[in-house]
Amino acid sequence: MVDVLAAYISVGEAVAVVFILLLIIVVLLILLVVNNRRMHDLTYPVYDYIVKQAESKAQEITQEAMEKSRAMVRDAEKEGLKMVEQEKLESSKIEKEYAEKLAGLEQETEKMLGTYTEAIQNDMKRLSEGLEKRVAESISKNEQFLQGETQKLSTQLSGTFSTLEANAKEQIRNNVERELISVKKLVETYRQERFALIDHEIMSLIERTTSIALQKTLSLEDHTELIYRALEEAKTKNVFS
Amino acid sequence: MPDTKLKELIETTYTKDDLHRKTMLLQEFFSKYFFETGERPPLKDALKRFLEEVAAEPHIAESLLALPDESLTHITQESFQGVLDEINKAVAHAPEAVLYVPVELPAAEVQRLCEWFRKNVVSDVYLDMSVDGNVIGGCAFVWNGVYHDFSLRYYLEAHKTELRALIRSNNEDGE
Repeated sequence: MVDVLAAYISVGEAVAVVFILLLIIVVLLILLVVNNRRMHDLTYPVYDYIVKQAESKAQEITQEAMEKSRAMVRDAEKEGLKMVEQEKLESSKIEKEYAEKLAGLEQETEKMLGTYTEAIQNDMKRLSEGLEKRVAESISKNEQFLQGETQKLSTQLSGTFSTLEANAKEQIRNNVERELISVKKLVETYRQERFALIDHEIMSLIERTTSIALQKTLSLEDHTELIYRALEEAKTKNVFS
Repeated sequence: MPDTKLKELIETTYTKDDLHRKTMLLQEFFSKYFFETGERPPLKDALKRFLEEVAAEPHIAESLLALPDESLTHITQESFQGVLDEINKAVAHAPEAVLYVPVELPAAEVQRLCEWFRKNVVSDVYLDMSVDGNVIGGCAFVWNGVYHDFSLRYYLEAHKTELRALIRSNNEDGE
């Protein structure tokens, strides 16, 4: 289509160039005639006739040139149209071939797609089966691994629990022993305190009883004697030094 | 012991209260005796009458009347005040033991106790007697600001271990 248009433009340009050249020639001729007429008017009036004949000749030539140029333009147009028509024909042919090829390509593509789809489906099926198989194997292995790990863990835990139990028993025994010692100490302390309290009470009782007894039984002389004995005891103990 | 004209007064007085009482009585007596007009009777007679008039405590009166005549005759109108002041001053600085006894003791026993102190502790000491029923079986005293208990409580404490052992042995025998 583009080539046809390019050809059409080149024919038009050629026609235009020819037409312009003819116009230039005509203008030159007119100028020449005008110039000769002036010369004729000035020098040779005889030439009027020749000028007229030249003018008429020029008109004829111009007419002829114009006719020729028109014929050339028509030929060019025809040629252009012919080329355009030919291009149209080629274009439709190409379109048809293209459509045919496209249709064939579609069919081939569909066919290929069908083939690929089938292959993909088959591959997917195989892959799926393989995956299922691998997953099953993996699960089986995992189960075995988990069983093994569980067994190991169970064994370890059992050992750990045994150790913990032993430690706990030891700790409890130690705590109990400590508590027992502490309780024994407390009991002993309490016992000593109670004894001390009882002793104190007994001593107080003895003191009170003795005091009452002495107050009732001692004479003045006895009191005096005891006072001197007390002072002598104090002296012996160096209380006065 | 200060060397005064009434040294015997100090030596025969065993508590500061008694000594103050005696010096007060002597002060009053000498004032009357030397400054009253009229004929002066013998000093001992006048003192005896004065002590009867003021109803002085028997042991005080007895102690004052027991003073040697020569000690009293040395006292003059001019000197008696100085002598009594000297005694009061000496007594103020003399050591004192506060003695707690379980019963009230007669003056003679107080005198004996003070003599014991003056013989065994310090020669110019005075006693401040107090009765405390809790110090039975002995006595207690304050000496140099420290309380010492040498009553029955002291002896029980001293023989505490033996007493406990005795009580426990009796208990075990009883069981």
